[in-house]
Amino acid sequence: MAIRETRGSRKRLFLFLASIVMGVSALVAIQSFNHNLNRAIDEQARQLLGSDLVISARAAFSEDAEILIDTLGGVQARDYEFQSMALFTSTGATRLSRIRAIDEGWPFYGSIDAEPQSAVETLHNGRFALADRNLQIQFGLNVGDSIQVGNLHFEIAGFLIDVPGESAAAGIIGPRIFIPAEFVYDTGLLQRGSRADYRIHFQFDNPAPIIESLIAQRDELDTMRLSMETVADRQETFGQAFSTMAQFLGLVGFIALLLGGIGVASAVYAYIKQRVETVAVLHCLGADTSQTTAIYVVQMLMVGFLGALAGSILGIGIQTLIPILLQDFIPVDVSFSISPIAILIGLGVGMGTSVLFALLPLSGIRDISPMATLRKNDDAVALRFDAVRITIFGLIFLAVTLFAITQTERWFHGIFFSLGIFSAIGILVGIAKLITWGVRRYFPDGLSYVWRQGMANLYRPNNQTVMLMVTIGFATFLVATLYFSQSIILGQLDLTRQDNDANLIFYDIQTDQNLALQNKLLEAGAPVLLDVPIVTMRMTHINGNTVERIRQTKERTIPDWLFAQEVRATYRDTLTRGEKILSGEWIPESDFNADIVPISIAEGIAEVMNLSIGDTIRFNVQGIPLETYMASTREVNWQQVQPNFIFLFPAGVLEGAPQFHVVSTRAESASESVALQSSVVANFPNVSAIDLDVIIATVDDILGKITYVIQFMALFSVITGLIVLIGAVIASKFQRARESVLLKTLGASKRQVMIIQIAEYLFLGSFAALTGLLLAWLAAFLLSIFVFDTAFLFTLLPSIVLFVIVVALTMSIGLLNSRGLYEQPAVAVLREV
Amino acid sequence: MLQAEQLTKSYTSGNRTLTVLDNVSFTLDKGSKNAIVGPSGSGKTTLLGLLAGLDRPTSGDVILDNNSLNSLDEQGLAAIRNKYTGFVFQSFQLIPTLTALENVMVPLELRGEKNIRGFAMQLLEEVGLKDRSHHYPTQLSGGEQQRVALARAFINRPAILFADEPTGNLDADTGDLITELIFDLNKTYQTTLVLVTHDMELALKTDRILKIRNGSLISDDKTEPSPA
Repeated sequence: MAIRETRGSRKRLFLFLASIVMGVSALVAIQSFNHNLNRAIDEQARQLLGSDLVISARAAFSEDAEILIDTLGGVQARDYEFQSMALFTSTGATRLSRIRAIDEGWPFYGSIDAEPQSAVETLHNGRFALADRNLQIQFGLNVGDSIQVGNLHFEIAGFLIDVPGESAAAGIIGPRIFIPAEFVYDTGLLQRGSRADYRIHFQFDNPAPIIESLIAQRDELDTMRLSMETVADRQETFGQAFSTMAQFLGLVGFIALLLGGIGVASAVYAYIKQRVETVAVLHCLGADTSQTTAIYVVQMLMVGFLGALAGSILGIGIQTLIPILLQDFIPVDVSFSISPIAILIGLGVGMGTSVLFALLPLSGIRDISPMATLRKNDDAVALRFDAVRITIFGLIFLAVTLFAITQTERWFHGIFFSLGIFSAIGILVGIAKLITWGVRRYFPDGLSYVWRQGMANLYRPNNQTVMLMVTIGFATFLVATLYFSQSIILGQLDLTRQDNDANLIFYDIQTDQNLALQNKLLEAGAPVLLDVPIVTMRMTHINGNTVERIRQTKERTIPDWLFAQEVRATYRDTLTRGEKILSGEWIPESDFNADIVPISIAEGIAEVMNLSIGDTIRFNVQGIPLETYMASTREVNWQQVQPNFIFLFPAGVLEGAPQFHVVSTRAESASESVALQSSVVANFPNVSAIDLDVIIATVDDILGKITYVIQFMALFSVITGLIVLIGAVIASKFQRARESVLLKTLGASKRQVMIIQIAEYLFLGSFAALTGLLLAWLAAFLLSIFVFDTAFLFTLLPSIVLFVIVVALTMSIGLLNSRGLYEQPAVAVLREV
Repeated sequence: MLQAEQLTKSYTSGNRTLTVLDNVSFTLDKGSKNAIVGPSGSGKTTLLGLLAGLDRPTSGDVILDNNSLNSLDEQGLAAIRNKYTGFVFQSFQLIPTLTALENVMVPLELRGEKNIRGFAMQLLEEVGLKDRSHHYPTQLSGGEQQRVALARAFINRPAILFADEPTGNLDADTGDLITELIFDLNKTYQTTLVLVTHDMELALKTDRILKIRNGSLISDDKTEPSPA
């Protein structure tokens, strides 16, 4: 009966299934890709690390560490990594780069890919370098050109394409330059206080027992401030990172499925309203409501299965695009294979979504009286809230939450996602209803008939206007929010650039270079805006307890990096513009010989360290112990373009300690900035520069790549919105044809009928776009305040562009599906009884 | 006023040709009241469609106030309908998204005429629905919907009113009321009436009865109209 009952409506039923196709395809594509990615990480785990074991430190290995390293044996390769300016002598340009000095032999597993490939061999034949491909593109470098790194010049042997364990995006954050490890100390860049990672890679015939014994000595490694990473560690880190990414993208894709579900619910509602007489006849013939409901539930199960199947097949195809999309972020080669689990998930979730959302309108079958055979009643299927429908809503919420929990693997995140999505949909429905009510209420009477008729068409019986506004609006909201977030972050940086005088910062300046460097800037007409001394030190005790002991305490909340690294502090007798004392007292001056020195600690860190005013911290300032206490906590504006510090010492204490300086200036143009950097680096090779314009360009580049990936997933929602629109337009085609023919009978010209159609889709598109944009503005406003901690920047132009695109798409789809309406014979109105 | 000239309408299905109207000719005088009667399937609705320019004949022509409908394209036909004709349908055919008043105004709004609300309200008053002007079709009974359709049919002061089984979907009392209104309005606005019906009692209220059977005009009788 369920199959027979579909006769004459099969095309329409196929439209329902189209609503869920994109959502299921997104889910299957991401799930399947995730499966393949995990397999690739498992298979290529050793290549991710390039060795069996890495031991690393934030400073040169101590004597004890070197003894331990010796005892481990195996094949060893050293690897140093730090930031420094690189000067390209062919052009005179400079760029803050990530220098990596490696021993010959590394990587033990996998290989460095370069252009030309022979350059990898050449690297260790003398003073050669491998430069990042981004540098090649940005500065027009060629093989054979010279790069100055610190005191040394290196000849470019080739350009880096792929490095084990690193994604292509790593080169955007900091362009890489590889040099042979044997020259690293001659560059003069690894001095005391310089920030660098010191690593040693190992290759063993049988790594397992060595690694086991090292794990047993983890406390000892901690004491020596050494970190270790094994293949399994790297595998876990990468696996977790990419699983999180896949989960996030999967949830973005899942939104498309939920929108499809809303589309199904709305279309089934319209479908059931057209089936009232059939249901009423069946009830007259003795069928009970469970039988009639079962007929349509079975139909929805069939439709859901077919939709989910089509989505799964499409998803397998789309899966091949994901590695291309994520190529900048993935450090392994992902091969294509079909994941049966992903397909099963797609089928299950797709069918479940169709049926659950269809149950809402299908529950209305209970209300259809056999009397409907005798008397037409437009309210025969009214969606009232009753126990059954509340239960169905509850089931939908539960199903979405459970799915989100399985995706995020955290119940809290799952519930948060579910609440967020349903709140967003709820707000969209609210906005949509408010707009439709407001426009109808205040629509100008003076407008010509055709425009008023176009508007009135949005309110025709069985209309799906609000649902379309929600589905198209949600897709608009997703795309707009992504764009607005990117704009806010970039706008924030831009504001910083405008508000702050400094746009170029030089750092790692030795005390004996400081005056000469400042003179150099002044000679070039650049002001010295800030000269900040920096002293490196290590925390040894907090409130009398050694940091080693605190580290071993399970309940501690203090992050490892605060202990593991040397901290950088400054001293002065005033606070900066961005600082404000929040508790305690700011003491501007003290004495090195004082028993205990009052210091100020940044608010967030003091909280993390669980410190109260008066608590003591003992530092080791390059061999000399210094007892301090927290005299105040202060707010720090970390977004200010200037060095900001956790620990602020008063004047009179650290002046005699070994230190280096940070100097900020302002370049009036990009060319002046390049010239200043070149001049400084040529004279002071160890000094590095941060150019705010470069930071903005880098952030823009990274955000662009990330939003591109997210937008790709959001595209599934956009397409779902459009499919739902197509479904609604086709479902109402008969009614629209009837209206057009009637108008034609009453004398309407083709142009008038056409304008009515245009007006209808213009209004629908505008309402949907506005609904989505209003929520996106709200989201952007909340994100500005609570996440990005910046002023909300309202950008009108992107909103207008998006608005126009959404309206144009809606109108195109609506009008394409309305072709030939005027050509319907007018005599049809006489035949319809 | 209206001239049917050897109207024939055939449909071809595969090798078969079905002639539903065969060589029908007659002339209707201005202001006359005419009924087209015949059993179901006789071709009377097809004839009405051709007379009103809703459909095109296979051969023959319709001349409406000296306009040959054959010579006009769809746009031209729409313009003629808007200028000369009014319609009342068996199934009312109101636009569901418009109120009663808005439905009545549609034909004149399509012409772009302004200040029509007063006349539309007058017509609604004449059909006894002044108080229901802001109701939507779904809020009106069948009889009320047909009364709105009647008001709409007269809003453009049509030269000719086509009514297709106007009481077919109504109970007897409501049907009588609608019939009375049609003849009253017809008299008030001096409209030519073409009424398609299978109800002989209704047909006898007109001046002239054209009988159709199997697509042919079998009789054309002047009647002594009974009081409407």
